[in-house]
Amino acid sequence: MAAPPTAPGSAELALIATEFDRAYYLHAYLDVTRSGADPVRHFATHGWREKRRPAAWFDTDYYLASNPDVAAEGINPFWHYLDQGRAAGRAPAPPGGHRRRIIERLVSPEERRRGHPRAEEVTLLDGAALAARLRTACAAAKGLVVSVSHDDYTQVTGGVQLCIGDEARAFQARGLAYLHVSPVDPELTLAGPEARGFLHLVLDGEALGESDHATLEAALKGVPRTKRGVRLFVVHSLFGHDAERAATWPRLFGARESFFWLHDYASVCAGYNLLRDDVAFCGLPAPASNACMVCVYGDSRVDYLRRIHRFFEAVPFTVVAPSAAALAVWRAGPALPHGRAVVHPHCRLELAKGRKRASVKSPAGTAADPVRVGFIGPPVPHKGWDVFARLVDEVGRRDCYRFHHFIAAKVPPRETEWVTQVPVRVTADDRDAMVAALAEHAIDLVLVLSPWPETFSYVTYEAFAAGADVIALADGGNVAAAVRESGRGLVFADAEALLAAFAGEAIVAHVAHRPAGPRGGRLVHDGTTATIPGVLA
Amino acid sequence: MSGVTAFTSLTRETIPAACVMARTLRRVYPDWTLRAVLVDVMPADETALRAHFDAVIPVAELAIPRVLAWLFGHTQAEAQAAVKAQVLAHLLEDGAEAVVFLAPDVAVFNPLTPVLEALAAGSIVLAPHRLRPSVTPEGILAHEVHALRYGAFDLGFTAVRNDVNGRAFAAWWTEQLGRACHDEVERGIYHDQKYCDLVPGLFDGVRVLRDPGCNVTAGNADERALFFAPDGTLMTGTTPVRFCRIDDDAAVFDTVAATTLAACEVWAWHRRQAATNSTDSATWHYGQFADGTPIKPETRILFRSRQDLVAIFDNPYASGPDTLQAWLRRQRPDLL
Repeated sequence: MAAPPTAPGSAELALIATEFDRAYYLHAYLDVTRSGADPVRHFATHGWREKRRPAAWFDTDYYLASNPDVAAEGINPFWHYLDQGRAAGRAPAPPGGHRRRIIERLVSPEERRRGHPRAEEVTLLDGAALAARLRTACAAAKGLVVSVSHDDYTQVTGGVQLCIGDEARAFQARGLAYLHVSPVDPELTLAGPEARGFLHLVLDGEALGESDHATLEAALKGVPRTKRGVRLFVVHSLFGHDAERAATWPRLFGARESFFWLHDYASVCAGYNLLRDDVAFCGLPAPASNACMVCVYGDSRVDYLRRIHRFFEAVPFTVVAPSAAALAVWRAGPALPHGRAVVHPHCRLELAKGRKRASVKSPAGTAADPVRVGFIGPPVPHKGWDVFARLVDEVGRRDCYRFHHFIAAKVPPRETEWVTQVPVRVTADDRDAMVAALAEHAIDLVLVLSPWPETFSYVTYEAFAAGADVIALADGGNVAAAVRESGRGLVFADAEALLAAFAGEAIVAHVAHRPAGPRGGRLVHDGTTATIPGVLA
Repeated sequence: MSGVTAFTSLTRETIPAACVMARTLRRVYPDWTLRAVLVDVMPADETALRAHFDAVIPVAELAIPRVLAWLFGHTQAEAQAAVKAQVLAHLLEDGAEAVVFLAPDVAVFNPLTPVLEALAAGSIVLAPHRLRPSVTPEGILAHEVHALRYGAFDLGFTAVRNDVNGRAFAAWWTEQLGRACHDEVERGIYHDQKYCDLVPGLFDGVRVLRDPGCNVTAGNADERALFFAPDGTLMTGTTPVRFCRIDDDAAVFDTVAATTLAACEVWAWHRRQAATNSTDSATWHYGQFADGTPIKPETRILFRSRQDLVAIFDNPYASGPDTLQAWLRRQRPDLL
């Protein structure tokens, strides 16, 4: 029988308290919160035996498993680490950090497909009814746009979905019907041979229901063709689609022009954000390279690219990049046949004229007047959360900074003593919610630390609109380019350089002397296919 | 060099890893002949093995007199190592221009140019575990002292040219391993490996492979930080990585993960790849008696040290009356 827990001594408690994260513990373990127990005492008496973590960075379970001497002695592992383990070079968590955890859990896009939940029963639209509905819509319209993406933009909120919504409304406002096609079974690659091939259809913002390929294709064939009618085919994402079938669609309804948007890099690799093994920007090497051999997206890349190439051969696309940075990266990859390529940003920043943000002065970087730093969006590595988390670990306790996390809903990793979570939800009806929240909290710097070349970073422009500067990494694509072009922020070569800057005085100095000053503005969301010059001519 | 034969020595447990080795080697050298010695019985499903190797030679088909009695005297690791020299000699006799041994846990990333250059200039190529002296007491204990006990060269790799020196080495090594290929460090023997400390002194034409891109292992990843160059080549310093030995073990993964992201990715990749070739049974056929009773290492030591028992029992694995197992039950029940 295990010995009952003994009460920790005051010296033990005192040492543990020096690096114990009370806020983390109370948020992570609600039973402790409810009991009203002192979190340090709870951890020292019971928590470590139950493998609870005293802080996000210390993995109690791992420390005991990898240090059998500590486990055998029945010593509090956190106390041991602080007292001697750290000095002896013992690791507080599995070496390799969160990126190792990602790497160890990698599964190929094909394996992920098998794990996706499927709607068991799908009621398919009647072919004649669908054809009639489409004919009616087209008869009353000046033309038809058929757009394709990976999910239903009316149900999912995200950058691409908001853009498609803007596009649908813009075309409708110009008198065109807008049919959106997404796969019923979502995937993170092209549909495979075993796919059911069911499609979800939305016409002019209204869900029509589900169709199979043959039914949709028959309806597209039946679209009335007038000489003056504008017919456009727009691909926002091919994920989940049968590329071979989709390649026939523009011919079926007589598309005059077809557009392929570079919202991501899925046209050159199924690893759509070019993160090798989901952890590091790959630089788009050749499929035969060692990097592709090792990468979880590498095994299937040759076949994947062959299908994409055939898709581009079949459809004469105008390629649309939301930023010059995205187009440059895409052009460095495998060449795909296409017509013209245009850069067409999703939104524009209209600067407030001659006016600085209300009631704002440059912060002094003191406890009373700290530099306010924000991170926007879900705490995921491909948005740079790991760097942000490291930054908070290293400098979060300093009085000169105050860290905020702006996120749609409070999620783990929860609020800690050094990060304030701010719930914000940007929707089609409230596009300025993030700008307003950043301004309300007087954020000076927004960290947009994507480790891959973002094609278009809404949050970067939201930060600018709120009067904040942006901190970016050199591989950040549109983020880094926007910072450089505007002179509003700093671009660091890598995470280490960024951490060093925060550890020193460069950040406070930058904020105090921002060349552009905290000048805000307004975002105009008009960068869709509908506004590409000449598209409706 | 076109007439190269590569071979490996494996058991059913190591087939998944060996298939990765074969696949990665073929990617670089599709024209090499690739053979495997299976120190085990054939798996129920031979598909993966047959698909990856030009020939698979079960240990029972090697020219080892009274092979079951010989095998009984070896642990799995000892037996896997012990057959290498004999197969090397056989392949040289068979006319291969050069023979390269690669352990099942090797993965080849780029052309083995330094190996081929060493073979062009010499006869016997050996790869040291590490390339730099340790500077801390812990490092000296972990590396230098360890190498003094277990051998300075990593015998997960050997390359031999078919010339006088190469054949002399193969004959000598075969003799040594036939006599004793055991984990008997206190007697100065460690498998096939420790013997090779003597090779630079005993034979002409020995080349020590000091290219940091060759033989990257968990034990030396700290001195050869791996990274991917912009063109996607796996590198260490200014050198492309040629081949790595990738053991799949939790503690090893910790060691590797503490070095670089690329190393962590390479080890995880190997684990995923090997998982796609997993076979029916991983249990070593020669690890137990016919009735399934596991064979203890001490039992093996007793058997091989008792020539009277070796002489009597042609098949020491048998169960039932008049078997070694029955004799042990009577005379040495502590060894069952």
